[in-house]
Amino acid sequence: MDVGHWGRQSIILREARPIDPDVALEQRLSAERGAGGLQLGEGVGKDRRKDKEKGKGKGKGKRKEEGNGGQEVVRGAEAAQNDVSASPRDGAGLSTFSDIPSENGERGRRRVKEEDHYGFLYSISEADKHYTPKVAVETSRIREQKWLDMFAKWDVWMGPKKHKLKERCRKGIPSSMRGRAWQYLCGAHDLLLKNKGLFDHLVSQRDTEIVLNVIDKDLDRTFPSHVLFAKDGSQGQRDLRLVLKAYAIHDPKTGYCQAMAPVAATLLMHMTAEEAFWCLVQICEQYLPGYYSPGLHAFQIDALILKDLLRKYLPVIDRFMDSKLPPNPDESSHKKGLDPVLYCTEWYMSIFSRTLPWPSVLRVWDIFFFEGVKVLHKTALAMLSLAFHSPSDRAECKEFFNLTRRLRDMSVSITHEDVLIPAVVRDEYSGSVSKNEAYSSAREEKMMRSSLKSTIERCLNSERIVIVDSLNYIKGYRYELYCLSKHVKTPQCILHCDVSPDVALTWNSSREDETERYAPDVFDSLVMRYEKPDSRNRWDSPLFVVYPQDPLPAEDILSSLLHRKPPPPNLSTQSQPLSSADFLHDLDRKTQEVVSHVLQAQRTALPGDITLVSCGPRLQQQAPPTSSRYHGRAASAEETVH
Amino acid sequence: MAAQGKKEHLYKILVIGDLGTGKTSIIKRYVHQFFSPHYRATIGVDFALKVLNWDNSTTIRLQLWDIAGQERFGNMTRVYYKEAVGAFVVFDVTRLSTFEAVQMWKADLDNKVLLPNGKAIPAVLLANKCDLASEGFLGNINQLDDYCREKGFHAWFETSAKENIGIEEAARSLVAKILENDETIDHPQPDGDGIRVGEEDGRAPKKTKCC
Repeated sequence: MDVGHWGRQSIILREARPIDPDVALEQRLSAERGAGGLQLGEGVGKDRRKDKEKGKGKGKGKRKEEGNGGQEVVRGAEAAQNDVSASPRDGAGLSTFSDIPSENGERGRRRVKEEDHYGFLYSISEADKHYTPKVAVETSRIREQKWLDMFAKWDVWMGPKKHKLKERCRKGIPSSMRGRAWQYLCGAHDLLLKNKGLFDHLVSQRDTEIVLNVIDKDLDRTFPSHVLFAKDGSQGQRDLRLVLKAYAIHDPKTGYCQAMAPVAATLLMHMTAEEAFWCLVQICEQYLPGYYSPGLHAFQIDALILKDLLRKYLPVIDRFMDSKLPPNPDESSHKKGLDPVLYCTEWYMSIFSRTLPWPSVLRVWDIFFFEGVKVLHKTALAMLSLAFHSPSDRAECKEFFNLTRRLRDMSVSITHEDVLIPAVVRDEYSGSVSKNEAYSSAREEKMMRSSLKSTIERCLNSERIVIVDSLNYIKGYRYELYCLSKHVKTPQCILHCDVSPDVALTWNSSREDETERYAPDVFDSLVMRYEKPDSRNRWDSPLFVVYPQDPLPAEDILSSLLHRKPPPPNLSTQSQPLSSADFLHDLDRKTQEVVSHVLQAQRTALPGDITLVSCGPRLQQQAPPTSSRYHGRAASAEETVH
Repeated sequence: MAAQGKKEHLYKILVIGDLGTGKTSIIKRYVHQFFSPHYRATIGVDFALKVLNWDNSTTIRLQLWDIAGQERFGNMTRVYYKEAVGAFVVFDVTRLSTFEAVQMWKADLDNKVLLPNGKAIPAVLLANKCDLASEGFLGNINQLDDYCREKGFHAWFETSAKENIGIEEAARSLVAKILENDETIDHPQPDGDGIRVGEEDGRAPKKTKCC
């Protein structure tokens, strides 16, 4: 995207250090959960705060004041899309749809032919859904060894090395390790050790009404196409019954929700009933609390969040879903807007286990166990984006029914793990707003600029060259970007397309697509605000100026990025100290916890008892979700009570 | 889709009832003409489309909303019910509890969705799994007639998705009722409420004298 042809300039950054991109999404998600309709990226929030603190002398805030005065107008940010690791695929086509849906569940009608890699029985017609993933034997050996090593030192991997662990989850857990890895990741492993016998106790209780009336009805309709659950009364079905019953008794408030069956069954394909039970406990209580409870409130909130995310990241698709699709002539009153709650229920509540081809299910679960609920949103966004990206895809779904059918039976060209997973883990989503809309108000521009900046920050990794060709006609913003590149110790350069406003005006009016043109008033104000780069400023150097008839000095640009030394770091761009600001507070809190625990133990314990104090293995470490209703994770302090 | 001069209607129809009563099976039978003893429990809502050539001049497209039977999904029914013009309420003749739940489903329906003219949407009661012989209520057909009149059902049918009994008939009956409603709604007089009520009473006194 450009700032008018006359003043086009780019800041090119190349950075050397990856920045955790998830933090941003996470914060955004939580911001959206909290703030309802407020759709602010992390950067925006920061900027606002900065504005409030103007003049308080905080390094960055002050600089910002000098640079922009907080009043400058900014414009649209499609530029952030220019470095996207997986671009949506077009032309998924309707080819896989027939009037008879091919679901796992309709076994009776189908001649069972073969059993796939994962134990699903399938007919040839479904073969495309049952491909075997190709991971070289050697690769999977190496990965297995890595995972074994990690199990041995799990606390370290959940602590300081958790970024690496996350990466490994995203690459896919080797199937032989999967069951164990899931248990470790969600903390079920610890719970099982600490609550030995509880499962057997729960299972030995009398069957409650819910078990007899509901669970028993679902046993033979949960993955009936999987060998484990295919036969009535098979071991798989019995285990499933035990796990679901144990949970229903263990958490009577939640009881049993039908969506839990596929979740439990998926777990049972990888572990024993008792282990599966504890994983289910973790999923229901830590990962998706409130999803399965009678009101399904938490799920409904997440459906609203998905709606918001759609509006923000896939506005075209959101509008498409919302639009009244052309109704039949005599039925003009029918609104066909499709709310996410209508299609994402099954996706979210069964954690995609009934939606995706099995290899993709497992990959999504691998990531889910590490990253949590946001993976559901990411997966949903990725699927929607892949399915409805191109206008032709959308045109095929003009009718409500076609739309719902496409949503339910997603083509394998979308859900194949090699397509879907990269789209799930990619971290760049940028809001796209039309040029004139983005310039409509100072506030709008400011928001765009902030979110563009945070996107750039997130895009950075060791291998990338980031091209930013928007919003940087303002000196102050170029300085900010310069600081970003400096911060990650990588060189940058500026490319300035020097064109006179008159020429730019003719170019603008000769654009074919009218929506691509700047409105006259917007154009004028842009010309007025334009701040030409000046190579004497360190943030505008090296500066390459090109004129319309000139060839691009590509070689020079490249060498300035690859062979030049990065600017030396200074204090304001140094990374944060490792201990967070609230370290003392945290320490204090934990100490109090330990002390109160000891005091309580003194009151109740008998002489000679050993009491475990649960406060996490490391103070700073973010322990994986663990229910406080059980003994916590590995205890770091032992107290002998006299 | 529509040939010249052909009228086309699109109707949203709900299929509700307790879990395991065979809602999905009925829809599969009706739309795809097959039956399988193994369907997955519906989570949330599922959709199907049935195209009917009603008569020479009318094509009807039924958008069937297959709604999860478990009670807790009922929390979201307001979204599902929006703008529906007809409903099947299904119970399982082999399980009394599902019949008892019919009342609750009907009440939920009447609570959350109304026709544009303010009336309850027409609902047909389906006594499913009638092939699995039952002792209790099927023996007493008159009683079920009374029940329907009392609860405001337009009609009731014995159905079996497995044996393909009664489903077509039930659908025809519901569609006929919807068409009838449509006529009164399609050509409304500005303040014609009173007139319509009168018509209604005159036309179908036996079947829809709901409370």
